[in-house]
Amino acid sequence: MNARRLIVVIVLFFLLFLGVYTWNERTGKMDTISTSVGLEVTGFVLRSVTFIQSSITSFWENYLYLVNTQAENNVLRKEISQLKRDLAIAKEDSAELYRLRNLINIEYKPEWKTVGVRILAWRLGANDFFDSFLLSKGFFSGAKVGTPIIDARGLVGRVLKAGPYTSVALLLTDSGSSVAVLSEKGRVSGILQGNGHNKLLSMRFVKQNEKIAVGELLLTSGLDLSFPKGIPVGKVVSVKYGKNSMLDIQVEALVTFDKLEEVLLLQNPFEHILPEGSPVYSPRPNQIFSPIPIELTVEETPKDENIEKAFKEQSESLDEKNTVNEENQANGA
Amino acid sequence: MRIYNFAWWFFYVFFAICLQKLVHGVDFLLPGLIVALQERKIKQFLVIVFSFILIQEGTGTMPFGNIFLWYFLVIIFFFSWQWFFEVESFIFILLLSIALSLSHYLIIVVLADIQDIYINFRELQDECVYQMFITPIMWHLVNFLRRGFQRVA
Repeated sequence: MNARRLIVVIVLFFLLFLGVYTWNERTGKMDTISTSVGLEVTGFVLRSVTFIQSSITSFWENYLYLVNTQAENNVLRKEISQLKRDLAIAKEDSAELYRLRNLINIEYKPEWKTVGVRILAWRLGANDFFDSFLLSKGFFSGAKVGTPIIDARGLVGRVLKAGPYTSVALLLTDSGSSVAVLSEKGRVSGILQGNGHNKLLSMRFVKQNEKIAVGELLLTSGLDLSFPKGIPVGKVVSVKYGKNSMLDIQVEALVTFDKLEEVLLLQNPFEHILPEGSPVYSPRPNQIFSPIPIELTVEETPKDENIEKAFKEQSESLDEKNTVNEENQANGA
Repeated sequence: MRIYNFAWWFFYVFFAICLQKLVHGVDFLLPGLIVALQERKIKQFLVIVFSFILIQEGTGTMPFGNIFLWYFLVIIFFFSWQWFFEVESFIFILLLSIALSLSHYLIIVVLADIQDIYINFRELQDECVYQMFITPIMWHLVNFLRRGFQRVA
């Protein structure tokens, strides 16, 4: 290839790139194609590896590693009997709740179904810069874009992009993740935003006169139409006075993200009739209002030395007058 | 020969994806792309580059475009530097991987800014450094295996 031909190829390619890029920005077609094909290929490979890995592990655990099985069985039997007792009590509570709700005419919220899903891999490849992981289910098996993800302890995140049988989840800790939350006791609402992997979350847009305490549990409020109300999200670890009459609240997520292996997808049964929820990825507020974050500083007014001097002299002369008056009164008495 | 060739690339992609699972943020398909360029079989290269773009763009979370642009820079660097270096020499691959790591950093920074995406620059820097060191080593291994495969097939 000679130099002239190379320059022509470079120019043609950049034109092609700009064309494809802007077309994709407008229609999202290339994202759909690459997600349906590329993500599926990756999903197929990782599913095969996970299958081989789990087959070997289960063979080891079922046939070769039988030591302490009897002792473990006894412990599990005891645990089952305890759980049965707990379940009976919970059934009673549930029946009571049903009766009370009927009494005050509260309608039941639609029951969200849960589907178990395996995590295939964490951040994969050179084009993944979000706090994310790959899931073994796609839009044919219950993981549509925006589907909430939870585990036994609380909220994990949402599905960011979905292929037919594989999807990518955006975690709560990612800087582009935002969730409408509510404090458990004070019922203070705000927006919970991520700050990156292994960092505390920030609860924003809470006024300084609101009552929120350290240690308080935060739940999803459901106001963003993306999550059902009442999923535990995190615990408040610090509350400080921030800028613009707002509180600066730091929150620790309840879920230990690094230890996750399986999660649950929450599926809304009335999704087709409800309005669309908030977007899965949202830029941070300072990026929304201005591309360059502006530091708000309050300048101190320059002190006028003459005024201060006059004020001091006046107050000193008043003090002197007062002391003279007091002495005169004392002498007169 | 075609079936064997397909099988070779299939297993390469398989192992590259498995390695990507182990080392975050590094592209293990890139050494294979360089090997495909060195073979100078235009049809094979087009199929491979298109498949690799789809895999990396589909798996990643950034909007479409980063890998497309980056893989094109591989082609540009390869053809413009072939006048100065022997394309199968280790020095050429080392310089190529340094240039590609730097260009990857720039592409991500520029496109993330355009797309209003917040990224962790420290993490990106680390991953570009890993890419710079891993690409020549992986290329050496893939090139060795590919030559062995071609001799047997």
